[in-house]
This record gives sequence, structure tokens and C-alpha cells, in this order.
Amino acid sequence: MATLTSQQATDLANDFLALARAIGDFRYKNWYALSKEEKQELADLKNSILKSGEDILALSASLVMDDVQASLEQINNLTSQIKETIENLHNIQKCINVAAAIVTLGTAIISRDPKSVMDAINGLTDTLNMQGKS
Amino acid sequence: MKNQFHKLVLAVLLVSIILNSCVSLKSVDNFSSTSLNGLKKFEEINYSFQQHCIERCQFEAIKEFDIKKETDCKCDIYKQADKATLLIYNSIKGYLTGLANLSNNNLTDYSANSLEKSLKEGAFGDISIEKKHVEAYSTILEILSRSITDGYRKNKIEIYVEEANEPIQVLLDKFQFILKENLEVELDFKKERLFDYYQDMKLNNTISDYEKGKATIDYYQQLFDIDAKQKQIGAFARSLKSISDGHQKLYDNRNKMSANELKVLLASYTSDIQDIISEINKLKK
Repeated sequence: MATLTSQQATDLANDFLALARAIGDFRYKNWYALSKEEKQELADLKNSILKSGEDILALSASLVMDDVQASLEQINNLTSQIKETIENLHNIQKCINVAAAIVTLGTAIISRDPKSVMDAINGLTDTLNMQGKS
Repeated sequence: MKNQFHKLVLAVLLVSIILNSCVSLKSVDNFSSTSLNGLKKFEEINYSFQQHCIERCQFEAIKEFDIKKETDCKCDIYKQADKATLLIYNSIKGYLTGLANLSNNNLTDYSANSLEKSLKEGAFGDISIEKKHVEAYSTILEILSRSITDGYRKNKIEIYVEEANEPIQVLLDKFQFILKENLEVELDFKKERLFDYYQDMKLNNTISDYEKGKATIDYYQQLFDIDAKQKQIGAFARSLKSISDGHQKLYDNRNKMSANELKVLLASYTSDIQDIISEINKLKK
């Protein structure tokens, strides 16, 4: 048996709604001609048709999943790649901070000032530790 | 002389690299951020398939004066429908969030403060560093970082928009379908049931004229609430269409991501989405 598509299910639900409305119109048009039992029977019938139509509409929304599975996978995969790119761009700030500490060390070494070199080494160590934590 | 010439060539080269790399992704950022805000309005639509099922169940109980300690509603199909809807929503949201973040200029607003702090003004043995030099190094570093990373972001966005266009169009289209053709129509069923309830009450002649008047007020109030909900869902579905059309335009013009032309093209979609957001906000009141 061929499977129902979401569009077909929606069309079917709309047909059910139209049918239920037609039954309701008939019932109210003939209100005084119908017996109490007949009115109740038509009301029950209409209610069942409405319920089925509502269920089919909900089913239609689930059937959409058959059409979107591949697209969902593609978009989720792309979203992961975008996140990675963003993460790489965040790493540049870390890189700038480390580079700045290295520049200070370089300047201190060139200056041949032992105290400046020691301070710069400590500064670089601190920076590396901080970047590692973040 | 030769040395000066080399310096000049180097300077011209550097400036041209910076100018070529300096791109504005503001139009992409505006479009994706506004689209994301519009999309998130879904969370403010106070209606779902499961809610529809529960309310129908309660309505049946009210009709029959059926008072139970616990309601017994079978809503499995409706829960499944909500699950499918949420899955699609979350995927679109994830992508738009990524695009908005990647195109946001603040992402690459790198600070060279660390360099300024490290290169303190003063003397390092034989070397002396002046304040103006420290500031100049920082500025150059910031400009260079920005120019390189902006170009990188632009290229990446081009690739992502190209790859995402087809699946995102499918997802946006199906999301619209679920909301407009399924959820909104569920409310038409609710209206039909409500009409029958009050019409039967009136025709059965078991209540006084005063009570009929009260029932009529109740009926129209409920009808008004359902209409408002349908308009809200309808407006939201229209915003999805604008997001979809805007993304298509972005895809068609992906090779001129930083051009003013794209800014103008996307502005109309961004403004449409913004208008619909205001409309949804008003309907909520």
C-alpha cells in the first residue's frame, strides 16, 4: 500500500472538516423535523468526523518528518561546522594575548636586563596558564 | 634610496591588503539576527498540538458534565506532531544563530590591550619605548587581525550560505506547512465544535433568554480568542516566508557579500520580518 504524504493527509483532514460542516448545516436546517434521537445521532457522527480530521492533521505534521530527514541532517551538520569556525575565531584572541607576552619576553631579552627577562617569563607563564583555563 | 623604495612598496602592499580584506558583513548580520528574533517568536505562540488535544478532551468533559479526578486524554499523535515541529524549529534556530554569530562584527573585535599592558612605556636596558609606539603597535595589530579574520569570515559565510540554502528552504517550507496548514486548521475544528455547542444550547430552549445572552457573549469571546491565535500563527508563518525569501536572495548574491547592493536587497526582507514581529507582539496583547 502506498504511504500517505503530509499534503495528502492535510487535504483529507480538510475534506473531513467540510463533511462535518455539511452534516451540521443539514442538522440545523432540519432541526424541527428531526427527532431527538436523530439529532443526537447526527451530532455524534459529526463529532467523530471532527475528531478524525483533527487526528489526521496531527498525523500530517508527523509525516513531514519523512520529507525533511535529509535536510535536517545537512543543516545540523552545517551548524556544527559554523560553531567550529566561531570557536577558531575566538582562539585568535587567545593567540593575541600569548603573542603579546612573547613580544615582552623578546624585548626583555634584547634589553639584556635579567630582571625584565624574569618578569617577562613569569608574565608569559601566567598568560599561558590563563589561556589554558579559558 | 633602495631601502626607502622597499619601505614604500611594503607600505602600499600592506594598505592594499587591509583595504581588500576590510569587509562589512553588517547586512548579513542584520538579516540573520532579525530572522533569528522573528523565528524565536514561535516560543511565544501559546498553542501546540498537544494543547489542542487536551482542550478538546476537556471540552468533551464539560459538554457531558463529566467530572473526573484525572483527565484521561489520549494525545500520543499530537505529542508526536509537537516533537516533529520542535525538531525542525531547533535545526533552523541553530543554523540562524550560527550565521548571526559568525557575521557579527563583535566576534572579531580583537583587543590588543594585552599588548599595551605588556609593552609598558619605559626603558628596557638599552631600549626605550615611548607611549605613542605602544599605541601604534596595538592599533596595527588590531587592524591586521580584523582585516584577515573578516575576509576569512566572509569566505566561510559564502560557503555555509551556499551549502545551507537548499536544506534550509525545505525546512522553512515544511515548518510553514505544519503551522499554517495543520496547527492553524486545528483551530477551525475547534471553532466548529464551539459553534455546535452554543447553537444546540440556543435551539434546545432549556435556558432563559438572559442565559442565552450570557452564552452568546461567551461564544463570541471564545471565537475572538481563537481568531487572535490563528492570526498570530498566520503572521508567524508569513515571517518564515520572508526568512526563506531573504535567505534565497543571500544565496543568489553570495559572491557580493559585502557589497552595498546586497545591503539594499536584504533590507526589505529584514524590514518585513521586523514588521511581522511587531504584528505578533500586538496580537499577543
